[in-house]
Amino acid sequence: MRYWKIFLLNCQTVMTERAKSFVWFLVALIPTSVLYLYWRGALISNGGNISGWTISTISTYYLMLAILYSFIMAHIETSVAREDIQQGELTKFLVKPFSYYLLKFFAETPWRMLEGFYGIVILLLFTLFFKNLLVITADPIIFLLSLIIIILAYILSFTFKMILGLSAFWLTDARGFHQLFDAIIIISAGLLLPLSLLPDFLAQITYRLPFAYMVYFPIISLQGTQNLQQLIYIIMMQLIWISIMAYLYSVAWKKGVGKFTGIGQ
Amino acid sequence: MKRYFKIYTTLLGMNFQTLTTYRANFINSIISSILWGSMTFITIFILTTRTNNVYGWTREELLLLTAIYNIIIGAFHMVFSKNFERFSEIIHFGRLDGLLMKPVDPQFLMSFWFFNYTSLFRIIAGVVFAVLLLNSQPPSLLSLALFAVLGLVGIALMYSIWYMISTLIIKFTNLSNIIDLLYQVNGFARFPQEMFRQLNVFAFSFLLPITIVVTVPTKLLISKATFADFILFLGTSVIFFICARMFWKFSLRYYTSASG
Amino acid sequence: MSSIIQVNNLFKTYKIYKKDPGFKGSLKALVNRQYEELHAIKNISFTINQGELVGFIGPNGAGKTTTLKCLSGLLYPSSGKVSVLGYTPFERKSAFLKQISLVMGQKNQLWWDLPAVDTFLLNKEIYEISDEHYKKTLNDLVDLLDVKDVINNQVRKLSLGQRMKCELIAALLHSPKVLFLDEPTIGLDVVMQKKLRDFIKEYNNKYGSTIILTSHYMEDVRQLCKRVLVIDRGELLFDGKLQDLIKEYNRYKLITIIFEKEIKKKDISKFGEIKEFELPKAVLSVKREESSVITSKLLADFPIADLNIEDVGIEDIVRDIFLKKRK
Repeated sequence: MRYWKIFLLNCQTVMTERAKSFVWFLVALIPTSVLYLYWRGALISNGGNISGWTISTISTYYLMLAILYSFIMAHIETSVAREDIQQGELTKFLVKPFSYYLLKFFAETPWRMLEGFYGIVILLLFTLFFKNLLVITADPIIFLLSLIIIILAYILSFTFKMILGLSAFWLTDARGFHQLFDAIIIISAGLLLPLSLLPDFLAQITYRLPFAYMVYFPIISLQGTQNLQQLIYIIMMQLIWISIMAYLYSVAWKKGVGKFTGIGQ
Repeated sequence: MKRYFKIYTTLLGMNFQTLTTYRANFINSIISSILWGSMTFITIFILTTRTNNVYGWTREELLLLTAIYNIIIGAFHMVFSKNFERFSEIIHFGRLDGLLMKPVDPQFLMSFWFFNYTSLFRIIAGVVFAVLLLNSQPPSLLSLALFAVLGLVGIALMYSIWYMISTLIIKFTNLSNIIDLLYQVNGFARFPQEMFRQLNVFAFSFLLPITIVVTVPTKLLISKATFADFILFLGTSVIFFICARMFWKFSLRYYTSASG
Repeated sequence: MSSIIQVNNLFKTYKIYKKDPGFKGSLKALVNRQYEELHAIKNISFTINQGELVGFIGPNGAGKTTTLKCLSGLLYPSSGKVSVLGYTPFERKSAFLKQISLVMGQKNQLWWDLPAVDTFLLNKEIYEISDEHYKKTLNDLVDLLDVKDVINNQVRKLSLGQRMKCELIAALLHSPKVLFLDEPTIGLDVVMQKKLRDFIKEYNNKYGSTIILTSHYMEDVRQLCKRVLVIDRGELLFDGKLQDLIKEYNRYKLITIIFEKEIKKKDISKFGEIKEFELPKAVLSVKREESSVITSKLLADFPIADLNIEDVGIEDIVRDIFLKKRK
């Protein structure tokens, strides 16, 4: 099928850009490593336990964060906003009988998979050398459900980023808008620290936002802190948020394309 | 020397004029500066919610570290960042040739061509917070003067690190995202140097330069700096500056021998 | 007439690393790096005097740009001696750089969002041009290129032609004694090409600067240069008056014919040398003086859909020279 061809083509491109991809991986790895170091010191001076988090659980958290973040968080919004909409490359897509969403999806996924690959390599290295620092669930069912949660998280974040990208239909410099959400995501997706360590009022807000379901919940699912019921709940919430995002996307797309083709850029 | 000064003031003027041509971009840059400046404070605040002592630093001291970080990073972004972002573009599109044809030191042209006025807001934000935090124990005039000197030394050190890594683009032209990596590396400077001591010796000495950029000037302001800190700081800065220059010249020779 | 450019036995060789394709190849390469030498310039020597307007011609990849880069100091020669204005170019001394200028293709130095005149002022500082010299040179160039109205407009808003003229001014403000032009007319339309050539000629006449231009368009050289150097595959094949080159090698014209119906090869062989014959297309080489007569004959005697007459391209001339040299 044609989408499969696109997927393969992008896989090839990704392979030739291995070095660049590795740099992106390092870019994700650095802040998480720094934060891990921070918590290590904080935990030591607090008797090894802060609100239920220990050195091993927090190191697992940040390790999984580095790995999952590079896999889950797509960077598609810049490509959509700058190249396609502002520079007009979108016309190329509009004349094709393919879904823009799916085309971008199959173009982006190989990159994410390569990042995920680096992540798995790091994970394996850790299980070999730092086993005591790693606390992941050993229960196969929970593990499987966590994988589902991770994949749904990718779809959720991808759709959200696509909507962000579409904002360029109406905003002349969408970059500021994107950066605002970057900042929000850092806090509310658990990229800075586990949501349960936020000040209580803030934590309550973030649990109700879609961003928590992009990174935070996948991580703690994998850590095995959630029981079956809670995992099913997470999956349900992800599906609900994906539906909401999909709806918002289709509305934005219809309105945006109408504007784009009516006036052009 | 005077000539370079004149060239630089001309560039400053041209950069100021370009500022006003793109109104939307100008406002966006300011919002960006303020946003990320605020984020640095918010994150430290959040991180210190449930702990009050990290590596011997209190919450207030960490916030002061963040304020100083914003001042130093703000100054760095103001003078240098845009130029580093242009590095890979210049080398990739062969514009380095044009620069080499000018009767001016190419490193100067690569480093000082653009000036980002909007980063001034970040510096101001940092100064405001620093003043608030130091209100109870204001530093002496001598301390402030020494701080300014150390700040410049820190910026020079950061510059040298960035320059050395960016020079790699001459050989590895497709690594245009190395700048994004450098922005993250700067992030190390937001935390106290002591935090990195827990790494093994190699990692620590590798990271040492960037970790002292902000820590040492801050320690000066809260009177916790030692003489050893100063020597280490100055020495590292000088060594890195010389290395950056030598590596650049070496890479230029490579460029002019191997390019077509 | 003093010689200001002197090149003796110039060589420029590149090492190209060879790698077998695939993963196995990468492993092999780790152990045993194989390389092959690419000779971009092979033993070129020439002298250019002050005020000359010289053209380097040759096909793409011949080594013209490489030679130019060696002369301007951008490339370090593998061996041989290069001297320009008494300096060794690759040392890139400030005093040397202030007296030369290299204009390469579409690489622009004007600031996009500012008026051209702002970039001129920047160059004034960079090249340390005095106020009076700057004023005079700017006025002269602006008059010569007729851009008085546009230099105060944002470069962004200028047309391609106006922009190109401003780029030239920026490159000439410091009144270089030697001007290197690399493929100056590439990508330009016919009108602009002519305007640029006229300007170069006028500039050379007025200021007496030495100008070296490279091109693979015969027309550039024909219009401007009395002297040409033909370079192919790194070797200097001809160094002398353009007249002589043309007389020697450009005595022929090529007629490209598209036939409507099938015809036999021998039917047209009497008209000239058949260079190509693959129906419906055929290419004939005929003597320049006979070309119009032969063309009318062909049109009368054969069913022709389309016919084109052109000069023997520089590639053909060069190939002929090269083959002759081989013999």
